[in-house]
Amino acid sequence: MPDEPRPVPADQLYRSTDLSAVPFDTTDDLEAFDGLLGQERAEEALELGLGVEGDGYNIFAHGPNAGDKALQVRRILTARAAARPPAFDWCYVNNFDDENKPLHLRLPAGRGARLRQDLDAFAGELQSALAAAFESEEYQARRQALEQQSESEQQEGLEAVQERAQQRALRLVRTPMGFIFAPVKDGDVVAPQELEKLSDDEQQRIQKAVEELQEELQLLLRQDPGRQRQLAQRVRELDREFAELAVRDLIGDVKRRYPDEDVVLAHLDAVQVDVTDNARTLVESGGRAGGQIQAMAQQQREHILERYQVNVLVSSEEGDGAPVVYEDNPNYQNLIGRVEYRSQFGALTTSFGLIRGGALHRANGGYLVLDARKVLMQPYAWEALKRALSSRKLVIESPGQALGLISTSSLEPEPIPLDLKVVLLGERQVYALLEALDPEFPELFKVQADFGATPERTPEQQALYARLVAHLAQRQQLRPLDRGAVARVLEHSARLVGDSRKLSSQTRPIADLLREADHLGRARGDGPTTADDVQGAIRARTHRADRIRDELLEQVLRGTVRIATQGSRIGQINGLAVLQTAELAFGRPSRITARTRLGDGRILDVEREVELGGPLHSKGVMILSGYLKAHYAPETPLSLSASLVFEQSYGAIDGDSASSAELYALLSAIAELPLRQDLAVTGSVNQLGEVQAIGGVNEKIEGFFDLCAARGLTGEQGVLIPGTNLQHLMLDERVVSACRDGRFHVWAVDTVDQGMELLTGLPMGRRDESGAYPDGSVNARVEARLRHLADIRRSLRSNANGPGVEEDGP
Amino acid sequence: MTPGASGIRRILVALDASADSAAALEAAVALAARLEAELTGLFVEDIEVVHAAGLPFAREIRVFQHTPHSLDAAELEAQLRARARAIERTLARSAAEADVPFRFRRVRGRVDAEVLAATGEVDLVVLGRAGHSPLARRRLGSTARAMLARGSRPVLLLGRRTRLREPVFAVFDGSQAGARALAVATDLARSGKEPLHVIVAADDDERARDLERTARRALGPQAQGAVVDRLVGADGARLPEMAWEAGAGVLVVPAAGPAVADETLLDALDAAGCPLLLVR
Repeated sequence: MPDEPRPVPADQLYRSTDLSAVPFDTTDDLEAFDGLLGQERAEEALELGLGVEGDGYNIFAHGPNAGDKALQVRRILTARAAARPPAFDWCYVNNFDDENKPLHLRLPAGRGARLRQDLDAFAGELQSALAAAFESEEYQARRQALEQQSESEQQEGLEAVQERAQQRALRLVRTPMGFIFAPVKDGDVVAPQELEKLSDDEQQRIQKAVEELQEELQLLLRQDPGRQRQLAQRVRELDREFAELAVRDLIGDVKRRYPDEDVVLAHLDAVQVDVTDNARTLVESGGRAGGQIQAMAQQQREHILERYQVNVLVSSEEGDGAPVVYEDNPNYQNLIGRVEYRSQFGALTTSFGLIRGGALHRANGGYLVLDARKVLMQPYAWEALKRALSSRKLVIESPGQALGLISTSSLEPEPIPLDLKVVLLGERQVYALLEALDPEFPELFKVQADFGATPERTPEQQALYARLVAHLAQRQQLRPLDRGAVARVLEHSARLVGDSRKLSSQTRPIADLLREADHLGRARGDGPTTADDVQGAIRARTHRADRIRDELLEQVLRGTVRIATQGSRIGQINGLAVLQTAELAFGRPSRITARTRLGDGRILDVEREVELGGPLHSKGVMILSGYLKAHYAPETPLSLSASLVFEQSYGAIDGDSASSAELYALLSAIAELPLRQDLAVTGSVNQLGEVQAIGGVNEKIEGFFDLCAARGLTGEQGVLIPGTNLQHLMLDERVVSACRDGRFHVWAVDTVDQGMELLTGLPMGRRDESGAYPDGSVNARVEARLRHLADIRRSLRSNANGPGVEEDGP
Repeated sequence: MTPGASGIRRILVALDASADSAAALEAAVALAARLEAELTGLFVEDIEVVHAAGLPFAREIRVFQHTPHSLDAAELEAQLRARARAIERTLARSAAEADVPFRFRRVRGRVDAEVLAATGEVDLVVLGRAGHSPLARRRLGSTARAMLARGSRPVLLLGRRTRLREPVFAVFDGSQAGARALAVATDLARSGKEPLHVIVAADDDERARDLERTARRALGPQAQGAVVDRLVGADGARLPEMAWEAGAGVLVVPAAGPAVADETLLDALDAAGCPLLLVR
């Protein structure tokens, strides 16, 4: 026979906080603790992921409390980052061989910005240096010499032609567009009418001479373009020579500042060559041409000068740690960067200067923290992130390019090598889904940091929790909390996780509670926040959310929903369910009834028949029939038909926490023994008749207590809970105080027998040596009834070939 | 500014749309503005071209399109008209910008003769060193030569790539023309932005000192800021070089004085690197 069930002592209904080991008066005396409680496993995982060098050692940190987790991750990252060297500066510069493919420069921290300044200064001085070179007397003299030489060549040719013309009495006459050979007489060109006076022979002679000279002149003029080209070429060489002289010192100044940066020196060499090639354009203003040509020339100069600039994508300072970047809006472009365009004469153009870095650029060499859900919700962002991580390269391209949808020419910046750790934050479900659906995910995120652990309520953790409370109060600039208030907060934390031996790791609801308690305390007066303030805040918080609970309770009190809290009834019992609204979980009593008659051993679960019962509920009901078959008249077939109903339940039901209540109701109906209606029952049973733990025990007890209290406590009322749920009890102070005064009772039961005895007031009874239950026991009555039903059934069946038992099946 | 001692009130500029003539126009407009003079632009349609185009076998060889092109009188007339219009437009624009009153004349005839004839009505002639003549690049143009040989007016001669600017350099040799050169230079330098430079050319030191005194007297109040250099017993050919070394913006010389013999004038112009104003 199991032990007599006894009411649970009041001191076990609520585990108070013992903070005696922590000396403090108010939280101001405590060193604030800014961390996460009990997440050692996750933190170790994080440290491992961050420590291991190698592909794919990125981290997915999951757990329920997003804000705290993000903070903690960033705290750990920041601490690690501070001990690491700063990241490199990354710049893009013009590629003088192919402007569509800008080149990157990797520089030590801080050097990128300096190089930009140096080259800006260089470009600023360049034009005046070049202008000075081209205006120098030496340059002018040499250029004039070249031009004169070229002119002289043409001049000599023309003179020779003219000379030959003169010898033949002809003159080379300049027309508005060219030349004509005309005969000369007495120093003047012969007028047409004069020509007619000449003899035919003479005219023919002149014509022939003209034709010959024309050919000669043509030949000469044909050489002119070639000579012009040659002159232009020589002038270009001269320009180049002077430009080189002018630019050498300027660029040399810059070079001396980067003696060890080979990439910079190579780039500066390229700049030098380019300046030399474009020197003439840089100093010419478009001359006397009109406004538009001048504007275009100006634009061309600006374009050339822009090419010497440095586009610093990422820059840090010497002495900075490695970067820790959190990108709140991780869309495609914010992650991998983009190329901007600007409108120029109605067309969109771009250049290396319009390359913009993304979060991956900023975090390169350090850590990037992203919200997994946000990344997944942004089109193409997840794929881009994976591509960057698996290739370890940062390729800036538009989504259209990445998808191969756009083939217009655009920039193809040189990919930047990527070396960073990505920490994704998200819920466990997101992690599980990615793990299951994305084959690349396990390769790229090899470490999971599980922040889901619930801290133990040990003295050490409680002390730490007190310091956490101190931190939360200080962070929100609240008044300090006294010892009582801290203790009450701790107890509330335990209640939040529904376990007297655990603490909640979520700080957001605690931080809110502190603020609200502080608000109440200020209204009350001076001094630190007290336990009463905290209690008041908890009550107010509950009150704000419990309209639905109140309405349900009102329905019971008004009799709309039938729940008895006194007397006894056969086949009827008070079960307990937990309802969850957005803010509040609460217990609600529910009447469960059982009816029996002769049948073939089936127990009809009405909830399942109408598809309101979930699978766990059905399982619980099926266990009942297993229990009946094993316990009573095992030698005879179960000749009973029973139906079980959650009365006035209009929604879905799941879970097996009512299975003990259903069993009690069933046994009551079979034995035709009334059950106490002033008790409510929760707990699941197994086939052996053991009562097992259920969830939401505190809410369930409080739900029945509220109803009884509203009707007036009789001193007999109480709740039966599984003994294994004792450790979870963190009951409301009103329940605890009623129990202490004997006005309400919580009974811990371990077996169906204990429960049944409480509910019927009769002993359950054990089989004696003959195998029979003692008379007057519950078991004896149950077995007698079942045997009776079996007898009837047997007699009906043996009664010739009469019609069988009316089947009570589906 | 009021008309000055030089008495230059009317300026003639010969225009033919060549690069040299564009420089001449710019200088003429600047001068006219400085001296508040009236500007006359003269475009002479070369009778030689008209005659040549009228010849039955005339074929034009174009500079860029080398095949002979038969040019008839009507086409030439059209070309000349177009050219005249272009020149007039340029003149009008430049004159308007400088707020200078101007006239435009278009005549037909021998260029040198027509320009020479037109100089009778003006006080100063502005010329490019050569026009369109294909042969004049190494020589002074025929018009310039005619002006120097037969003209009676001061001539401002512009070389290639030269612009009229300050400081003004004047050569004083004691002659009457030298005195006029001083007067013209004084007018040109009246803005006072840059000091007037006077180069006194003499055979010996004593004469040079005398001339310097004369020059300073002639300059009157402007002698104050003027810079006077002496060039004693030297070859006149040194003058343009001196001007160039000193960064002269315009060199005013007596036409009969040193350094301006016809055959060396072009060299002088090149050497000076600035316009030459020849005063008679």
